[in-house]
Amino acid sequence: MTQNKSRTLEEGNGEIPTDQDTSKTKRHRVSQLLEMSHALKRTLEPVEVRASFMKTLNSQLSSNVENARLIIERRTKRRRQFKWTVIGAGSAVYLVSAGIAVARITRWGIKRIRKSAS
Amino acid sequence: MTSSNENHSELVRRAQEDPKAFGVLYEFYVQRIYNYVYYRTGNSHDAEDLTTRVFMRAMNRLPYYKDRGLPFSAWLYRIAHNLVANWHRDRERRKTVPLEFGAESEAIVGIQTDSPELVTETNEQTELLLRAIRRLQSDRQHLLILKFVERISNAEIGEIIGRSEGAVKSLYHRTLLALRRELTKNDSE
Repeated sequence: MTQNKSRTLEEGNGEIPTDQDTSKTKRHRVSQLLEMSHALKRTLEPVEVRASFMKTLNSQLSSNVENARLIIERRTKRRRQFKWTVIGAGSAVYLVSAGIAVARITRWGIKRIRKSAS
Repeated sequence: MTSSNENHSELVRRAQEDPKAFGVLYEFYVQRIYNYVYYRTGNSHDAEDLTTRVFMRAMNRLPYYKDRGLPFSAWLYRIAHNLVANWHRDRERRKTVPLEFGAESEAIVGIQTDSPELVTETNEQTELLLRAIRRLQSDRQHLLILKFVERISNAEIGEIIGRSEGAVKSLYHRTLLALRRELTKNDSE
């Protein structure tokens, strides 16, 4: 008998499992998982959709085309509105700041002219 | 795979501009979405109802869809997942008695055995397994449906559920362990 008893795992009953025991347990666990995998394969089979249901849903979707088109139009309109709002707000900010800058420069210029004149 | 993804992206883009083109997408995905919903709900009546809602919602929300490099099916599955989650929540509130995979489970499995005792036993085992699957976390259920019902590879599953191939493998392993635990618990009860 080989003396390859490993003292890595101690069970609750005080027995020390050998390498053989642990490999057996591992093999058992793997085989159980494989079994489970096979059971899943057997159980989870693709289900066929009823042809009448597919037809009904297809016609429902066809009758929804107009509604979907309206949604697309609404979205396009909203996007356009948003784009122009952003452009408008940006232009307004730009114009106001440019106006302020021009006013300051003008005031500064006038001040300098008055100073040099006096 | 890449060229089919490109084709699908093109189809989606076309459907975003013209809703009539959505029909092609519907034809392509209806079976997959139905299967997903069917195994998540456990009966064909609710599966049909929810599949209808998934496609109606997808059609109305398609203009808002943004291609982020993920498969289009991932977006559809997300809609289906949300609707199924709502369905479960509503059902819990109403507290009705579910007819989980009752008479239909035989049809799903397509068992062909000789003795009636064996048929009954196999049906019972199948039903137990299906119930255990439905008690799993939703991402684990999704993984099993994609793997066994859709029969797609781990890499593709990863693309759909937004995980790496390795993460899918480890999730699958954890799922098998969880199922085994669940079934052992059932046996001991």
